[in-house]
Amino acid sequence: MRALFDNNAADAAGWLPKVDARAKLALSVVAAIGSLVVSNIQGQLLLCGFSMCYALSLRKPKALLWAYLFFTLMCGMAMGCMWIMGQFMPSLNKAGFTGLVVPFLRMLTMLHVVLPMALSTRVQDLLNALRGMRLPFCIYLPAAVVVRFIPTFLADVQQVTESLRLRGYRLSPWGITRHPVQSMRLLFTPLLFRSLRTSEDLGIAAELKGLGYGKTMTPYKTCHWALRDTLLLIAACAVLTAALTLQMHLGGTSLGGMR
Amino acid sequence: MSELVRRYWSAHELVVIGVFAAAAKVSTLLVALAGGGMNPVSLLLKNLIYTTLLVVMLYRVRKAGTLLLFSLVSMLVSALLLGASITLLPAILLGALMAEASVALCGGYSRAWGPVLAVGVFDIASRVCSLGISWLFMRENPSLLMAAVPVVILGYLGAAAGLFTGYNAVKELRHAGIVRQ
Repeated sequence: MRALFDNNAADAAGWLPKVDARAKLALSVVAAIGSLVVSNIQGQLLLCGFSMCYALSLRKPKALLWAYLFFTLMCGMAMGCMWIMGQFMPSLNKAGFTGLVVPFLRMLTMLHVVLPMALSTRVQDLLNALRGMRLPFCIYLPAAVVVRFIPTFLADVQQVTESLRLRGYRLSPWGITRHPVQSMRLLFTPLLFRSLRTSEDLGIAAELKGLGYGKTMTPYKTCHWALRDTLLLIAACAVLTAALTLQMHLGGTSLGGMR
Repeated sequence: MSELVRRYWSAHELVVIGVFAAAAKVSTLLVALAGGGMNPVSLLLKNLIYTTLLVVMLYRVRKAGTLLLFSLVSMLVSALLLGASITLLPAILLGALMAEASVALCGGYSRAWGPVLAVGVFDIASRVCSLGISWLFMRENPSLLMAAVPVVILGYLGAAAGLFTGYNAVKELRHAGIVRQ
């Protein structure tokens, strides 16, 4: 969510904010493939360890600790649900150590990769990256509108909640649970109308500016793929290869866990 | 003088898709936060709002492929901005493809109930595919997945209710002259 704010990357230290957003996205794809394919504990530990080094290079230990806390809470809830269900179906509680650890390591690896991307990328960099990926116009324009419209929509939400407060309504977890239909009418209906109006205004503005009628777009800023981006991707591929080698030598094929 | 290009989706329609993708993302996040996380009522509401917005958006842009484009843009922005896992992308895309195929087989978006059918199929298919991806992630211990199934079912109930609220919202908007098709 930090990526929604203009000055988000200004206080992020280290080399990570300088890395191209395309490289970060490619890294998350490599991590997703790696964590999906590797199924032995040593390979997963390797992926998790290297991804943790990547996350620590953001130099935001507090944010990482909050993410770990949330992750532990979610895992705890999943284990709790599993234990309750295990009381009725004993076969569910037969999982061994590897059976529990490997899925959690997979999720942890993904957390280590996506958290730095969200915390170290500016909105403008994202837009540049979207353009730099040479996406078709039909993907680039809606994506740019989403990125640009989210802060406006958040301001709209604030306005609606303030007007509700003025009329004596308070949106709280208890209030939403007790009166879900009323809460939805009060919050959602004005937001739907604002979205429709904004889409109409922006759509007309886009057509008047002639967006999409030309063959090419002239970029305001061009993004540069630097040597560090290439090195980052090479390192990611090397770690993935090492994890796969570990899996092949220490046992467990890529589909070995599927039982 | 550069040559003019005719595109399948006009800039206006692409902006509508973008605005609704943003609205769906922010409002569901907001309801989840306001409801205090794993609250079952907020889980129902979250899915209901998402589906309602999707139905309204499809009635505004009634073209084949719109749902697929919406899913693609939504997942791309989630991956870039909100830190969503890229692993969910194939599941969502597969769900959208199945929805588009089912609408095409039943007469296309020009039918009165075309958009509702598309969203209905998308809701089921994307959830089933997402559970499939989750199974791949937790294949060493599939019982972990069992904990997620009730949450997914609860979410689907909200989405099913969203089909009706979406259709009603479109009727109101058509009466107000905002949705013209």
